[in-house]
Amino acid sequence: MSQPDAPSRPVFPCAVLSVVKHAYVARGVFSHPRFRPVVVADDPHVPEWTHERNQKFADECQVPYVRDINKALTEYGAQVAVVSTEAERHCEMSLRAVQAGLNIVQDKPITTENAIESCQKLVRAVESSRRKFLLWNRNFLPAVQQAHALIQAGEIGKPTAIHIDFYFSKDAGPPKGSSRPGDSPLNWQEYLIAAHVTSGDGGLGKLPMGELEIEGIYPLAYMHRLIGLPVRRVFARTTAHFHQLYADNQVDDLATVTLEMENGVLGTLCLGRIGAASHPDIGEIKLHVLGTKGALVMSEARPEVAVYYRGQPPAEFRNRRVAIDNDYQLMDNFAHAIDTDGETILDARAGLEIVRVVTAALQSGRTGKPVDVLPVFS
Amino acid sequence: MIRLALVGCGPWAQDYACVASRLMGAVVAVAVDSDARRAAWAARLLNAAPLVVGSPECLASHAAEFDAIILHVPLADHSQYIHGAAAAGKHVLAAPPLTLSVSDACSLHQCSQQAGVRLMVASADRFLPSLTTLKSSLDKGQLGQLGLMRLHRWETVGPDQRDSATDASHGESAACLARDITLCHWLFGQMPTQVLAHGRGGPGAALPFHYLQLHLGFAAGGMAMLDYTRDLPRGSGYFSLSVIGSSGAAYADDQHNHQLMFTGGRATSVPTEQGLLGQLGRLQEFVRAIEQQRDPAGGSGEACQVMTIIEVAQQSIASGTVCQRREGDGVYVPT
Repeated sequence: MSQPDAPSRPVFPCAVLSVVKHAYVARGVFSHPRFRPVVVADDPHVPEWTHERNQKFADECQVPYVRDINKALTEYGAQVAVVSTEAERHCEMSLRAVQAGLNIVQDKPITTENAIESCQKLVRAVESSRRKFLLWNRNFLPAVQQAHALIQAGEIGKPTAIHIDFYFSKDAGPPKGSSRPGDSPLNWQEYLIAAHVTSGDGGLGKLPMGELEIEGIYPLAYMHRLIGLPVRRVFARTTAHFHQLYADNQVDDLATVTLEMENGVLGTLCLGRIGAASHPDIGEIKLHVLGTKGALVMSEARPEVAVYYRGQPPAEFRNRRVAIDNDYQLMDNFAHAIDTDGETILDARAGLEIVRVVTAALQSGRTGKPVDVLPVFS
Repeated sequence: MIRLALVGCGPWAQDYACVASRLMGAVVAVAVDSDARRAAWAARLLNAAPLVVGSPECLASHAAEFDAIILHVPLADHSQYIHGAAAAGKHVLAAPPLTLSVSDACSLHQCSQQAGVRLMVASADRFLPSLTTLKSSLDKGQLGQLGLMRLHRWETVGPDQRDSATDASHGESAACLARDITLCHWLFGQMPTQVLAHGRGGPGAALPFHYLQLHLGFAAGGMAMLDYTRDLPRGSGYFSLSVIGSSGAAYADDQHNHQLMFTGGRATSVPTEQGLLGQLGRLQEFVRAIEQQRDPAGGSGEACQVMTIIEVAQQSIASGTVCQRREGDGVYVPT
């Protein structure tokens, strides 16, 4: 809603650097009136299907698509880069944008397990240039905000433990155990390319990624927001329990993590892509927080509205989340950070901290032993 | 008709009184306590005969008055009473944990087996309608292979809420663990391969482990995560148990079963409880197992395994390490 008396605030021209995976990040950015696309871009050498997706989004936004990242960063007046490449290209792409003087909104995860160094470079570049960086997250969902507000108000005292369930009930191809002798392993990238139509391509890339690596950012970002303490040591169990794709590619679709934080605060995380049959909606996602004076049990899905009707498609969620303003709030937070030279709700350093936790958990899952979480720049 | 003796007459006698009239094939015939007033009070509730007895030996001299025992004595006294009962050919129903050590638990198991009596170690939890529904779905194969069990149990344990069986500090810690490890063992039906546990005392608390957290691994990638606190502010507790299988999931969660009440200010949530059906189911299973001369659900063999997990969890808490089950001998070793 325009406010005639309010002083006008600058609108930030944005370069969308690849929408090969989700377009939801870019769409989320442009849900805020202070951000507008000016160009979509990618490197010339990416596969043709990538160019097609980028072109399609450029057409939707009615902006040019250029097969030249440097040109997009320098010739269109962009002040913000929206990065939604494959996860393995995230950091490299964001780094190029920061070095060109842009602020960054980047899809999750901030980087992959084997690209920590590039992420460290990114964090250093962001911090030394005083550019703003927002790692896409869900911390502005109504229930998460409510939990944060209740904790901040001291309603449960000082938090002593946090437990997060993050089960999302999506399928990922045939169930585990469905392959027959002699079948070739399912190809990760081919499957994820095909999954684009259902937005089930969060792990798109050449390298397979487990759900802890793809989705772990969200619950760990909740912990970051609600507890705000560094994680010192983790113990994890990881397995491919549901989907043949994950079993064939030896990555997890189910994981549990024990987290030991500073000041003796404990946490646990149960996370999985548990299959569409396992929940009537998007999945059971809950926050449990224990404090010195009380405790919270929060359902991340609330508020929601139940809708049932004759002929309803089986896959349609019966409970629909409402009042979700996460996209706008994230971008408002980002705009405010730029305006005031302030912090974003999840910046590059926090993203790297989370990756350190995920990396330690993956290592623990492989070794069966607790693993110390390394400092950001060790 | 099987004649039951309630040995130890605390507040729980009221629950037994509520379900006793619905029991098939059994009556509570005797209410036993070392305190005459308590014995008389419970006897009135249960429509039973009071018996003032302060030791297993004395109880043995009244063996003709009952066939089986519902045991509610301090955990440290379990062994004596169960040995005495077995010697007298009496069956025993006890709440977990069975004892304070694996060796004691195994001794009681063997003693009962040799005497041909039933020794059932179970809380009412596994007989609650919510959890029997969940287990039934799992057993029917509707959920596929169990991959994850997630359990939260938060409660306040004030002095008047403490069972006399759990009044020693070590016993309390074991009891906190025992209920939920029993559920976990019941659902997975196997011993964990890995155990990592954390425990800590509450603010200003004299007793250890006001907070407990367990991370268990099972064969074929199975896993369980349990947390327990007794530090909630006085009032309602909270329980949630979810099982995630390869083809389905079940959620038994208190949050779904709370109603709203408005009395000004913030609305209050009020739980719709499952009544005493869990307690009735527990007691009925004990009676049926005796009648049918079979092992009860929650037999003493299982109790020994649960006790093993408790000991390993306590080792893990003390050492801060993961305990791994060694292939071959099944011994847990720190990693």
